[in-house]
Amino acid sequence: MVASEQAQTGGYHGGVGAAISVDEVARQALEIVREISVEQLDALAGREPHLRIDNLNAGYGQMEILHGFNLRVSSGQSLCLIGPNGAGKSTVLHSIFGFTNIYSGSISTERDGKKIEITRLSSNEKLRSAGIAYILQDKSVFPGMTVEENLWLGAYLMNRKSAKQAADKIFDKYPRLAARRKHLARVLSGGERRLLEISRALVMDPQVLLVDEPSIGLEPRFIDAVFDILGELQHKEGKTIVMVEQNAKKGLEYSDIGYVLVSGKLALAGHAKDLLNDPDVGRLFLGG
Amino acid sequence: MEQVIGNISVLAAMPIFNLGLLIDGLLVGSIFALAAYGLALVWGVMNVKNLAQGDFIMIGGYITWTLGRMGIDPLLGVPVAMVVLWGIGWVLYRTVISKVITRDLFTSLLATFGIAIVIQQGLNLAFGPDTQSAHANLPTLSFAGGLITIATTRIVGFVLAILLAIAVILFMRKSRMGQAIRATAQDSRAARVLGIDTEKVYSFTFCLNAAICGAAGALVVMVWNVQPFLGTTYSIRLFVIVTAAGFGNLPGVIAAGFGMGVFEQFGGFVLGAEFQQALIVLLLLAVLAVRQLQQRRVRQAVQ
Ligand SMILES: Nc1ncnc2c1ncn2[C@@H]1O[C@H](COP(=O)(O)OP(=O)(O)O)[C@@H](O)[C@H]1O
Ligand SMILES: [Mg+2]
Repeated sequence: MVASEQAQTGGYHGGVGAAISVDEVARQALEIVREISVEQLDALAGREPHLRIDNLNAGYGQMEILHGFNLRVSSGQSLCLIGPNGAGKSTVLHSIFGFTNIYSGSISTERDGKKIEITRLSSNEKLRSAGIAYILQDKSVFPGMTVEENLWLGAYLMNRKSAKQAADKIFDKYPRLAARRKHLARVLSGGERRLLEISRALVMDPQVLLVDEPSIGLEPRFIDAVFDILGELQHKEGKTIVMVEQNAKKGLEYSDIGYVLVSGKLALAGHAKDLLNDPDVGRLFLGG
Repeated sequence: MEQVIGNISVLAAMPIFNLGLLIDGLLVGSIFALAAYGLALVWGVMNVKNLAQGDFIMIGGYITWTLGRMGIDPLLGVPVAMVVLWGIGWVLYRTVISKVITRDLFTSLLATFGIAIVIQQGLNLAFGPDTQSAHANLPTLSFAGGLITIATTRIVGFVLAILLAIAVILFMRKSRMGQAIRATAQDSRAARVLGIDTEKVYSFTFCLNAAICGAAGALVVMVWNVQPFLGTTYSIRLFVIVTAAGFGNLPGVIAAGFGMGVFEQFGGFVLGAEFQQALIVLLLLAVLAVRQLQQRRVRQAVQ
C-alpha cells in the first residue's frame, strides 16, 4: 500500500508497468544480496584482470559509501554497474579515478603484465600515466568553446603540439566532429555532444574508460548510437570499459559483465546475458 | 536648477564642447572597462563578487604616487603596481579567498567587504586622508582655439588601457592557462576530470585581476587622483558596469565601461562635479531595478 502510494508521488524506477517505488526497489534489492566470492569475479573476468579493486572502503569526507567492494575486469572487456539510485555506482567510478576518500583496500591496474598499484594516485596521474579516463554523467562539454578547443582541453596534460596532434587523430576517426570543428559546442545536437564528451576523453589515449550513464538525457534514437561508439572502442581498440547505467536493460545488452550494487555492496554479479534473464534483476531493474 | 539649464544650453550652443566631453569620457571609460573586465573575470570563474575591487585600484594608485615622490616616472608605476598587486592578490587568495570560494554568496561578499575595509584603513594610516595625484611629465594639447584641451596623460592612459585589455583578451583566448580559466568558468567539474587544477586556476584568476586593478590604479592616479576611501565609488561603478552588461558578456562589459565614462563626463558637466558620485549611485539603483524586473519576467515565464 505504502509502496503504491510512493509510486504515484515519487519517481518510477524502470519502464512501463514497473509500479514499484524507488524505496521499495532498494528494500527488495537488499533481499536479493547473495554472497559473491572473489573467485567468481575472477572467473567472470576470464583471464588476468586489467583493472581490479580489492576490499575497498571509500566515501566522501567521513561518510563511507562503499563497503568492502571488489571488482575484476580484463582488458577489452566491458562491465556495467546497475542498482538502485544512491547505491554508490558513481562512487565506484569516482574511487577508481581518485575523487573519493579511500579508507582501506586497493585499486590496481597492469602494464606489460605487471601489476601497478594506483589506489592513492591523484586523478591527474591516473589520466597521465595510468591510462584511465572519466566520462562525466551529464552535459559536460564546454558550451562556449569550439569543438576543437574542447578536444584540446582533453589533452590539457600534454604539451601544445602533442595536444593538437592528438585532437587531429580524433578528427580523422570521427568525421562528424571534424565537420563541426570550428562550431561552438553549444550548437551541437545531443548525440554530437555525447560523441564530443566521449572523444574528449579519448585524446589522452586511455586504456580504461569510466563512463557514467552514457544514455542519460539522450533522445532514444541517439542511445544506440552512443553504445555503438562504446562497443567499437571496446571491440576494435580493445579498451576496457566500466560503465554505470540507469537504463539497466540497455547497459546489460551492450556489456560483457554486469554487477548489481546495493547500498555500497556487491549484491549480484554475472555475465550480462545471465543477469538479463535473472528473475530478481528483471523484476527490480528491468521493469518487470 | 538654473545652473543645470545653463550648462545644457552651453552644450547645445557649442557642439565642440560635446566632443571634448565625449573624448574625455572615452579616455576614462577605457580604465573602467579594464577594471570591470577583471571584476567580471573573478565573478564568472570563481563566483566571487569582489567588493574590494575599487580598493585594489587605490593601492595601485598609491604605489604609483609613492614612486612619483621618489622621482620615478608614474608611467613606470603601471608595471610595478601590477607586480605588487599580483603578490597582494596571491596572499589574499591564500589566506581568505580560497576559504570562502566554495561557500555561499553571502560569505564571499562579507569576506571581500572585510578586505575592502582593511585596505581603506591601511591606506589611511599609511598615507593620510588627503587626495593625491601623480603627474607624468607630459604636455596638454589644445584644439579648436583652446576650447578642447586634452592632457596627453589621458591619451597615454587610454592607449595603455586598451593595450592591456587586448593583451588580457589574447591571453584568455590563446594561452593554455587562459583556456583552462575559461573551461573552469564553464564547467569546473568537467575541467577537473580533464586534469585541470581548478585550485590553481582560481588562484591565478584572482591574482590576474588584482594585477589588472594595479594597472588601472596607476592610470587613475595619473589622470585623476586617489584617496583612501575613494575605492568604494570605483567598486560601485564597476558593479554597475558588470551588472548592466552581464558578467558572461565580455564585449558588453567593455562597451558598458566606455558608456560609464561618457555618461559620467556629461553628467558631471551638466549637474556639477559635486553630483557626480550621487549620479553613480543612482545609476546603480537604476541598473539593479531594471535587472530585477527582467528577472521577474523570466521567473514568471518559467512558472
Ligand atoms: N560528491 C559527493 N559528496 C558527498 N556525498 C556524495 C557525493 N556524491 C555522491 N554522494 C553520496 O553518495 C551516495 C552514493 O551516490 P552515487 O554513487 O552517486 O549513487 P548512484 O550513482 O548509485 O546513484 C549517495 O548517498 C550520495 O548522496
Ligand atoms: Mg550516479
